[in-house]
Amino acid sequence: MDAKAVAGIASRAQAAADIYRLPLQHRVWRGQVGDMQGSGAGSSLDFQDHRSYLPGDDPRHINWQAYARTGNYSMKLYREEVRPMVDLVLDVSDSMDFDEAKRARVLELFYLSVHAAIKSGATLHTYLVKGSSHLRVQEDAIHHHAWLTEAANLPATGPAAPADLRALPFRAQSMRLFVSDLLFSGSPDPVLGALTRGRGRGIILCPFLQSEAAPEWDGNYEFVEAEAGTRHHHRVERSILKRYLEAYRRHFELWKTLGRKYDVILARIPSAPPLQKALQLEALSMGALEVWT
Amino acid sequence: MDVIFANPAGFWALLGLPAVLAIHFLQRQARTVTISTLFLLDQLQKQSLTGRRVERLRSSIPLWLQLLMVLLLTWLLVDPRWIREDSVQRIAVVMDGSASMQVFKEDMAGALDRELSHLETVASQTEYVMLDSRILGESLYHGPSRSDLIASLPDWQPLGGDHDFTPALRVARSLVGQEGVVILATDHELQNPAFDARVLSTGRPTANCGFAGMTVEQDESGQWLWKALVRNYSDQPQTRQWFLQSGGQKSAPRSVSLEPNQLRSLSGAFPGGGDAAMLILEGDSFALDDRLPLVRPIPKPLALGKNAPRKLDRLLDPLMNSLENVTPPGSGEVPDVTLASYDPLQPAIPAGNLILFVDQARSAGGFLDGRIAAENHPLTEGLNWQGLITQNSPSIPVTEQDEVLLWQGGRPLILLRIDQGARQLILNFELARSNASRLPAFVILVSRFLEDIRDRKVAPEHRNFETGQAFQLAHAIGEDAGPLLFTARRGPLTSEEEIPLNRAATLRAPAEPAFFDIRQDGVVLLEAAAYFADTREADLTSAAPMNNLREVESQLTMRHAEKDSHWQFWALLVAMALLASWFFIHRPTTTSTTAQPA
Repeated sequence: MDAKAVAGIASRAQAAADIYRLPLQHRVWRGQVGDMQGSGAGSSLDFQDHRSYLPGDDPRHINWQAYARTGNYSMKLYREEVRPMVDLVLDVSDSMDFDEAKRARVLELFYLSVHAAIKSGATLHTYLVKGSSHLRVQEDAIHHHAWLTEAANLPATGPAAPADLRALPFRAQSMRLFVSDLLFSGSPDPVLGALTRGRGRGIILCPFLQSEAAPEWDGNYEFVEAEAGTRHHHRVERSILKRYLEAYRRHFELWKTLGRKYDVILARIPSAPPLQKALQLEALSMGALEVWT
Repeated sequence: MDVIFANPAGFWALLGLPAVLAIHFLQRQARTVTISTLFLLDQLQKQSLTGRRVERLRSSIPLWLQLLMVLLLTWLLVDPRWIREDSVQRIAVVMDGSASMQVFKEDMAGALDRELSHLETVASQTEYVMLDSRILGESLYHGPSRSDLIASLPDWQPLGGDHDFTPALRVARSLVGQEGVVILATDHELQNPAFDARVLSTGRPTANCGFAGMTVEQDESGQWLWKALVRNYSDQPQTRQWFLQSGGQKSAPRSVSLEPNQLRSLSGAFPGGGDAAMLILEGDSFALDDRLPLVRPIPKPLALGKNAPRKLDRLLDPLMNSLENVTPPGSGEVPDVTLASYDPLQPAIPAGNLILFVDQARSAGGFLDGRIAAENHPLTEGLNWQGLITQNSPSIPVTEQDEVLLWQGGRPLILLRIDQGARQLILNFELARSNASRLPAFVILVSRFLEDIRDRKVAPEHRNFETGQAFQLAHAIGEDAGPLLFTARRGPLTSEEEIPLNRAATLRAPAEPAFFDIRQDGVVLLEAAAYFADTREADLTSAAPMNNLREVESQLTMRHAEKDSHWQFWALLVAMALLASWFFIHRPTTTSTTAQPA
């Protein structure tokens, strides 16, 4: 995909970010001073609590009326306003890139996440992950789409190699957005555990293809593994196809079940429909995104 | 109504069924697809791990439509027709009665059975008539049963020579009418036979060796010798064994080698003490010319008397000695023919068979002038009389019943007189004063006259004939005369036939090689042998198969059957099946593009 096309996708995603936002309103966050409600006391206008004065407290927040009534120093505590932290992780394995529609949808979700985080005033850390490899991408590289080159330089993986998020330096209590098709073998626990480590809030945006969810295979096929490039001759008959569909369903059922256990939102987003329509199917209902009000 | 197929070749279209099945069985070319979910597929059973060369046949709408299409196309192509219940066809089979058919008779029975069973199917009823091409009288078979017709063939004996089929075909066509089928069953190709006949030939080029002719003669020492011709009718060298059988004795087998198409002569002494012998050649498929019966020829004796002045002995004796198989009468024997002179001064003509010529004491002087002209008569046929010189002499009285054989000017020179059954050759010139005795035509005329007398003489003789040869046999006539008893001997088989005298003029030698004799009232009139010597029939190299019955089959089908009235519907159905099959193969997928949550 050329830079112009990527820029077009980024523009569409940015426009979508004017409609959709990250679900940052329902939780308290830690971080630098910002617009979001923090978990501690701060200097916002929102009153939070009273407490006894302790040496070192800011004398400007002494409640002089209470001192007049009681003779004791008490402090007025106001809500802290912080900038939330968003850790965005993009799975750049080849399974995300082998199909034109899926690639476009992945880029749309990535740029949507970036712009939604920026628009929310969050501090954004962006990581690219490919199997056990990862790297952090600077915002400039994202805006100039240079990250694509960096992603391409990540070492290749074996077929269906699971994304290893454990080594990523997620910030405590950050929101962790993971854009991945989740098409790798193994237990979801390591990924989900990493997303929720340190009281993090995990959201998975999972693009998928119709040809993956409901293929119309019938007969002999030479399947090319998207990541390893290996070729496999398979004969798919109706019974085999039925069992494949069942395995596919069970795979994502497991992710959703464990996602609920880890309190990670998993929203599957089809690649074929336009982005807004695709997001309305599951991302909004599952709370992975919200509409600006 | 029975159904027949006007175009059975259309059944080849059924090959489309296995073709369609094979196409559906065969592995489609593996489609290459890049997928990201191979790990899910690998978890499934091993059956899916590798592709197969042959796919299991999957029931699909296009498959059944294509099979239906093939069946319908086959139905249309074979052109089914329903035979009308009231249809009757007549088939006449003219069997080639020539001897060469002996070789191919069994093949012909099979071919006829096969072809007629095929033709039978085009009509509800079939009437058959089978004739011999020699038109022997009664038909060989007449009736509705093909099996009976075939069963009559073994008794049929084709023994004739080469002959024209047209008369038999004419009879056959008249029997079956213009709408009937006339089949000429023969052993060689025949283009455009008469009366729109169809040709069925089962012949094929076949090597044959056989006897092609024979003579039995006396050499100068009086020894009887036989001489037989053997011919190789093929393009390949042949070697055969042969031997002579006589009176229960066999000679040692000898070998004769023949180059392609070579004719060789075999000869040997006639077995002493025997009057009959049989030359036998090692057998081959054509047996008629492998046996050559022969008898030592003994002509009827003919006693030639002389009743003329002694002065004419010098003239007459050389003439009498030049005649073959003629002897002077024995003592007291009445001569069969008398060579007599006629003296105009004593004009008395003796009775009986005569050769009468003018003899007078003195010459009348002068030669006869005028052109010499011969009448058209068997005795003078082909003879040249232009060198005849005769002198003028008194004429023998000529009667109105006399048949003039030769004229000179206005004078009858030679006459044939039949007087009370006696035949008299009258030479109306002075023999001694002519050059007639030195003229070949005269000698031949006398010989012919004597042979005529001999033929009419009732006496035993031994002769050799070709098979089927017609001949005349002098026999007793009158109220007391009995019929002729014809006895033929073919090896151990002997057949006798009594021939009424009114049929005695149409005697023929047996059609197969055999010894035979003819007796009348216990008296042997003829001892003879009949041998096969028809080289045209023995030559089987030009035999060839032919069958143009198929051409008439479609006409018969059109005549006796009705076409399928629904063929347009079937054709429409084929088109619909074709379109439907195309639709089901190329129809777009009906799967929704909307994602379904897992």
